[in-house]
Amino acid sequence: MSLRVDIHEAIDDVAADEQAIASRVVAAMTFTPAPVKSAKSTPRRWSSSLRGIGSLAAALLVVALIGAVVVGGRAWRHSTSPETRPQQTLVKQLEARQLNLAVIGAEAPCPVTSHLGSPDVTLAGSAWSDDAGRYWDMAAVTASSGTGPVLIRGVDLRTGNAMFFVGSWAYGPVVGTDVWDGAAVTYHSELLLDPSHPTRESVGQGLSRWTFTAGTSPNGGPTWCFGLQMDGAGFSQTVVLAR
Amino acid sequence: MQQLVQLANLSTERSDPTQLLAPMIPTGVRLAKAMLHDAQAAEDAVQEASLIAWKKLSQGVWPEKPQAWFLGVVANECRNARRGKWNIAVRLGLGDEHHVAPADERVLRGSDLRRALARLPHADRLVVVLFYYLDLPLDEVATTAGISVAAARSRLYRSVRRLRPELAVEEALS
Repeated sequence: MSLRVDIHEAIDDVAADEQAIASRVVAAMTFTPAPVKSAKSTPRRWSSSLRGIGSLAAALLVVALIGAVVVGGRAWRHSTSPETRPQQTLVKQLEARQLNLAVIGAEAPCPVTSHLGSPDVTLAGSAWSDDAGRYWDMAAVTASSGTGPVLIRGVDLRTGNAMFFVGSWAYGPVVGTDVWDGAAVTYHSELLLDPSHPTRESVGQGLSRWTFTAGTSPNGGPTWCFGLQMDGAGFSQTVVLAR
Repeated sequence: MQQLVQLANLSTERSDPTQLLAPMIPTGVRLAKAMLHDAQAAEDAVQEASLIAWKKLSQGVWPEKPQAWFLGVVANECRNARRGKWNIAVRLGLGDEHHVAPADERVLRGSDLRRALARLPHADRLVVVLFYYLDLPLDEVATTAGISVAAARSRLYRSVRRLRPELAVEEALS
């Protein structure tokens, strides 16, 4: 048997519904319905792999504490340095911008946008839900050479409720708390993508990726019609998502 | 007339990155599956690659050879995915299962062959997968991997020797 045939057989043995995967990827690109994940599945996947390794967890906790002190110290120095003050002024200006996300009626069709963002910020995500709300696990991609911060805010277009954000880039007032797979999380009213942030994730090709979760509160019955507004220096972009 | 139709199609595709990318996604999934041997990891890698590709296309960056370019982005995401997996393994202190078969039993099949593929360096594994699994011609393998045809051939020789030391070079590239 030839090496080519052997390799085909060996890899085809890996169970994967390629057509279904491809369909989901294309769906995410066009924001058509994405598969609903189990509740808080992303955090659970991490923690379950570590469960039962008590000593390792303790060691990691010590490392995390040391890291927090170092990163916290740097962040404090960064936030109080003169060069970040203009940045803070710009963020205040972005926060002052009006939201251009009109609330629609309960029965009106969701005005889903055909684009994923703009050359400044591009979004993609998949939806999931639990008893407490509905959420999008999202990724935003920006040019690494971006010169200023991007502020993201969102609204449930059927209920008018503001969206909240969870993750490293969540910003602004705390509007709620929850426990995700045993870990406390805080909901913030805004998301701030700051290109000068030292821990942003570079994905090559001159791009940075920012992952986060956006959701709506259970009050008023959350729906699957969300609007997000992305504001940066010189641009303002809205995206409407549905599933 | 056919030229005009092709030009019209190209024009439509250029105005809609999704239309250009969608037909290439299944091939990207096959590549990611072959590189990562894990359906969920493959889906994540292609998802991320599609996002990056969409972003580039929407910025007006239209590659000369779209499929080779897109598969290159997928391959890069696969490399990142494997780096993450490796980091986790190191933190958990997991040892790598090491199995060396006697020289006369080096014909690897199934899971043994997958394990051997997984041990190849990323760049070597990529050319093997592109050539033997996606059945791409050598020049497209080279374009996707971002190397010359001679370098691609050299990597294939080296990789095949590690997978099947007894295989003749001519047979390997047939």
